[in-house]
Amino acid sequence: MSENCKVCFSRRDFLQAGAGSVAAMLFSNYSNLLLAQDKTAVAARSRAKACIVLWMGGGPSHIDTFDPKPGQDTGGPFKPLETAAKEIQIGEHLPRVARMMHRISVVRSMSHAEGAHERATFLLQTGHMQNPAIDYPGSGAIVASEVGETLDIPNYVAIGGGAHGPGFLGVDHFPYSIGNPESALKELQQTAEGVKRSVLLDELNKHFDEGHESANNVKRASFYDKIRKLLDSKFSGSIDLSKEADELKTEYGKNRFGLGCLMARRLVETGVKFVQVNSGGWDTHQDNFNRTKKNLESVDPGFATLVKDLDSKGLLESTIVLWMGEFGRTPRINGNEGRDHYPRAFCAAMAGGGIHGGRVIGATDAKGANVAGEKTSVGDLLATIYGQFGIDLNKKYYHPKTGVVKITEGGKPIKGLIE
Amino acid sequence: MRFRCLVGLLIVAVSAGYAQDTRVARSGGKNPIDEILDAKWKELKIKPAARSDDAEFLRRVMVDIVGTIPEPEEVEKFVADTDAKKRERKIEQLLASPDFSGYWADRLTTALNGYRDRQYPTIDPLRTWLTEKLKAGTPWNKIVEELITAKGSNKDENSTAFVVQQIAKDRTKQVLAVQVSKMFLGIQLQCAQCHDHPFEKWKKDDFQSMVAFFGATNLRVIEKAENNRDSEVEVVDVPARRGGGGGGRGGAPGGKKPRFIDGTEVDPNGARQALAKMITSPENLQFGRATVNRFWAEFLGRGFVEPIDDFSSKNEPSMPDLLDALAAGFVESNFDLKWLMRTIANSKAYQLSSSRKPDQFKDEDEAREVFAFQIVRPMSAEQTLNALLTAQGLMNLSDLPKGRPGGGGGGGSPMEQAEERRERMRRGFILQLVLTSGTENQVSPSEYNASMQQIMRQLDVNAPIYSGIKARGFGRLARTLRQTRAPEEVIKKLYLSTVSRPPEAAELQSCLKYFQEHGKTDQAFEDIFFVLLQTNEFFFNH
Repeated sequence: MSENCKVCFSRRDFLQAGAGSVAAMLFSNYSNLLLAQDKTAVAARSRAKACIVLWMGGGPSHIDTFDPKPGQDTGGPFKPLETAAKEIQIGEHLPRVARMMHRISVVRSMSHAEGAHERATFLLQTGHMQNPAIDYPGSGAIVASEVGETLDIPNYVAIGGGAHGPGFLGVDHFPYSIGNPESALKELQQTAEGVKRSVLLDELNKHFDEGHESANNVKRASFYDKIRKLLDSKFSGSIDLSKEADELKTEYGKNRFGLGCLMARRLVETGVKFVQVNSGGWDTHQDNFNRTKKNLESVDPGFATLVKDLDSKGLLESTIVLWMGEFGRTPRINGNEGRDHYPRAFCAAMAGGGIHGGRVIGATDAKGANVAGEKTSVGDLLATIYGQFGIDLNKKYYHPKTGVVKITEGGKPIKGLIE
Repeated sequence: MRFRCLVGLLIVAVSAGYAQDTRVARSGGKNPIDEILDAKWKELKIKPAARSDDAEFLRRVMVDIVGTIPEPEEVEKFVADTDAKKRERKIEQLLASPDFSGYWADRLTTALNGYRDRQYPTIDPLRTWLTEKLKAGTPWNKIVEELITAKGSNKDENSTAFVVQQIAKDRTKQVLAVQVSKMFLGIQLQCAQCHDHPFEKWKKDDFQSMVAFFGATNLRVIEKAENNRDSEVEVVDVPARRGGGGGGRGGAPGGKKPRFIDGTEVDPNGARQALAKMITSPENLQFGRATVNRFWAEFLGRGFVEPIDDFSSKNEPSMPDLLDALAAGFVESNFDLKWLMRTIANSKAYQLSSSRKPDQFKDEDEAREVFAFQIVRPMSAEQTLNALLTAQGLMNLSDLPKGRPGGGGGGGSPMEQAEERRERMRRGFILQLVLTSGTENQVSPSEYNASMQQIMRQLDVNAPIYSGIKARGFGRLARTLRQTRAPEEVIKKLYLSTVSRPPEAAELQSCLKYFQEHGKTDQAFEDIFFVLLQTNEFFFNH
């Protein structure tokens, strides 16, 4: 561990350094103090208070979404659509997003080298290439641990599927995952049934715990407390969609993804720092155009209404919305009317949290095959988010196995996006 | 097979197992673990914890050797048994039982391939293959050699499941090289800090040279199915082209020659076979150390080296002499996993109590380091599931009333359908347990890891995994209530079924009070049962 690394140690670094839970408990008062100071400093630098990632699992075609190539053999059948931002055209199956483009910017120069789903997903959700030696945390866990104000409610939530775990940051930052937004509250209430009995549990644990003092027992018991707190917290209210008007639900698309977006807004209002809403089915090696059209129709109302809704509630300026998948799809249309994996050039879309609307960053060439000019790396994209949260981009973590781990591999915030 | 009634099998196993040689080491005499640890405790002036009582021992040794807890009757029988050699006998019974091969096939499959298939089915084939090998008593070095060198179609040769999974994860074979080094040598090759230990001639590019052993190894599709998962693939070695390293896709970057970490270079043709020989050779004590460390951690809650697959000069073993003595004994036993487990389970250290008073040790960390008491540690996902099923009386399907499990269409007898349903539930449960706890890649099991979600799921009393707590039907409580409705008796049975001991007076009182306050209903019994399944004592191995 180098000298200059010591200064950037936070409480969590300390825990991760393998000092063990007993020592950690001894030091916890002191380190909580450090933590509080840390967080105040971060908050002072921040534009963003929350981030919502709209994850397009499988990899959406850039050409068929935010980087149309009309008139090219690679362009496919979708027509370009004028948008609320004068200079920007996007694919025709995002009509409602088109009307919000004055709030949304597009990065068309995304590029990386991972052509397999798993490795690319890892890269986009952590900012790091897979390395068998290091269990990198997801960016949601990084944000949650850096700016989360309390551990009483989850700071990192995944809806409609999972999101990258906390890695070496530890299970406190594991994403709370919600399968179906409409039954999220019911799931939590079912837990309440079990918790009711946990008074007896405390009593029955006594005998064993007395003779078997261990950090494991303490930790397990603490989870019951956490759940009791969670049940009484505003969090459980925020996962109750029955409180929203039917009209608004319809505007969000009233499908799983749209309702996930609506829940994301509610969670952000409650103070949750990072939400990932998942959409799947983008791996369109066959029948790309019909399937992409269907996917877009399901995503368009959720994405557009989320931006609009956040805006009307005054939350957009402090909430980043990031639309992305693990890579783009080949410009070339294959024999099955499909498009294959394509990490060399693809796009992401971003709004809110101090990010400009209505801008285009970078470009691909005429056929959408290569980035024309400077490429934007995944590290740059995530550094933009971290930077908006006020997180120190030079922050280093201490990893017990491999030593110092950087927060991103040299990513720099995308200047043109920042207000 | 795994779910067959343990009690029944154990009775059969007594006659077969007990006659076997129960000496711990071939050289006979004292257990090498005891010799070394006794001396260590003396040196440090540590008085180890008391010997575990019989109930405590029985539960632990069953969780560790066959992956589940005892049936309530079995606890009572074992405690009442007056034979001085009953612990040795029990260990032999367990090692000889079919549950041994089933459970360890499960655990090793998880360690080798993880919990989820990548691209092609590998988890089930690997588990099937390992079950057969363990049942046949195949030495561990032979098993490892076959895993590393497996060839042929994934549909014909279950032994290919390990290599297929690693290559499906990563076509550059880096993952394969990493996994082979971690699992069988206990070293993290990819870690830049590791150098000149435990091998003398460690070099910076040894990682690429290790990957080069698999340069020629690839997956070739024999028959493509509509669903890629169903395709038939084969593991092949494409002969090297002249002048280069391995042929085929994803050969080692930079054209590195296959070179073992002790410096031995081999020809790219047949490199995989050469590697397997070098790893599993009796000359290579590191293979024995890595194996011993892994199993020691399973039985004692922590390895000599932690994480268990990270031997390096910066991470020296805590008791090197003991580790090496066991490694040498393991090699001498002809890589017999049962010798290793028998030796550990019969040792004094293993049979120490996990219970201790707050100030029993001057320096508890030191005492832990020299295994002067047993460590409370979480059960693995596999153990947790088996323990839940056993506690609820769901482990043995033939106990179920005839015709009961059937219903619904589909082929197979009602029993087969029930087996199938439970297999699905089992997998769902394990995945859920693992994926919500973030322990999918956890190699060292001593620290309890859970997410809020995991605890929430465990608290869902309506989940299928708790179907046996009901007062009606065929689970443990229902069966008990058919015999007796006396609350003391019922509670005692529930205690024996879950935490493998009768309740203390105070605990009985707490439960009776709850029962009375909740209208003396069946629901109150169900509540108590459910709570017992949530206790630390049930949930942890100790």
